[in-house]
Amino acid sequence: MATIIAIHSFRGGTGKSNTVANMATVLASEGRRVGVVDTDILSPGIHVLFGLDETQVTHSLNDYLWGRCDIQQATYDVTPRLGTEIAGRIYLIPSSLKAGEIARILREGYDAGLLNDGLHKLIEDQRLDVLLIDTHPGLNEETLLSIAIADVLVIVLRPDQQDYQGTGVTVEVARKLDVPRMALVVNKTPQAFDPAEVKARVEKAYNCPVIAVLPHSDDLMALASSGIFVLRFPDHPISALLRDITRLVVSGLAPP
Amino acid sequence: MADDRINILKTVSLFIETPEELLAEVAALLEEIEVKAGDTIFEKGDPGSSMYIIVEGRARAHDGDRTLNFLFKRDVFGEMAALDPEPRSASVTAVEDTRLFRLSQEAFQELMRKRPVVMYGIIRILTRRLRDRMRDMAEDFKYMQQFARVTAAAAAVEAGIYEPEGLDEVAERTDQLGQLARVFLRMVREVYAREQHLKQQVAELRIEIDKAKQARHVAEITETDYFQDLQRKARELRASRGDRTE
Repeated sequence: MATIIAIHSFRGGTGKSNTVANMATVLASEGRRVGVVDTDILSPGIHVLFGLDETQVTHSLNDYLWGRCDIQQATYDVTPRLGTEIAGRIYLIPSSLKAGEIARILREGYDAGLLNDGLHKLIEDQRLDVLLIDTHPGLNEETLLSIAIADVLVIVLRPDQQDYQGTGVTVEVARKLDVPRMALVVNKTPQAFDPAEVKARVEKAYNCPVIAVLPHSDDLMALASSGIFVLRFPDHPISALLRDITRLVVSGLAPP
Repeated sequence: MADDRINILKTVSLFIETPEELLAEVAALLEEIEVKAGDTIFEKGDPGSSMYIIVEGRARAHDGDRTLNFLFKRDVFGEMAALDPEPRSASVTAVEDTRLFRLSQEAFQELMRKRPVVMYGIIRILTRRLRDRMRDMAEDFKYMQQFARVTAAAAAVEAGIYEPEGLDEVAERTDQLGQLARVFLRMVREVYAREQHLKQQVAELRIEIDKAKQARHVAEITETDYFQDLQRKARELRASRGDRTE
């Protein structure tokens, strides 16, 4: 039985996709078979982190949802692209990168039922241990579906007022969808903030555990979209925090 | 001896406009006196009518026990009294054996009557001093004004207003007040930046959630048919998965 983890942000720019890519890599490094679905159509970028460029993406999640292909054709094994041998595997379903298609998705939305079927087929086909869904910011139908089918919801936020308000909405909605486990990651925290203080305040505000307070990191920003941080800088303190997040999110899961 | 006296007179500012040939006539009026260490030359409150030049030795201007000034060789004191007699404003006492020249008011005024050129020279010197003094006062006044600006700016900063006005001009001064203004401006900028930074941090750390807005936002989502349907399906799904894992 695969564990489905949805990673959500109320707004863009929180570093969500980076967090997803690193979590996937940590999980796969421990020998798990990991699926990553990019439903963040507004800023589809996770494929770049896994070294997949647009010319290599012949089919995307959109093609599947519009009936142009089956889910397997839109599935890419990105494990060999990591540049490092790892025990498990990572399968990526990228989002469409074509401007015209992005406009169509924004106009028509996804067929949420088809998305659900596709994700379950992906889990079966690839015998996944974990499926990570990189969700679309905001709370549209496909994001709600991702939350509804998730066993764990991780909400990534930045410590600023807009994110505080939006995160409150997401937490409430997720509770109404009976998400079994929910955790918060505070990212891009200014260096001057006391992480313990941030953790305490955010936990109190949402009555929800904060599993990490990640500092704003110039190193991480410099690497930006050109690789997986935990592989490039395994000894960096942020890599340790990213491994902690992953461990906490999947704690209680069967070992691979 | 007469040459010595003339040379000494040349260094007395009151006579620098007096033609050298007439200085000999002034020199002739000088009365040489000698006082022993500890002797009083004049007392505060005495009617003052002569000026003194120290030729050799040292004296002390004082008011009771309080020393106002030490007077050395070539120093001139009581010079105004030679033109305009007034009670002495301080006492002068010899610190060591001292030799002085005294020029009395009567002799001096007599000379000026006889030699108007000497008087013109002295008038020119006094006018110059007056002009300098007025310039000094204007400078002092400007200094006080600029100093007040620094004080006002400091008070404004204390009250949380970080826009020191008119300090740029003060900061251009090359004296210590200018340096104070420059240091102050730099400090204000630093304090301001630090306070803004702190305010921003405090604002960001304060988690304010508008509960009414949140409830409205949540309702907009959860009251849709789609959500109700999804909620029901999600429950069924979780129940069935739960069954399977148990």
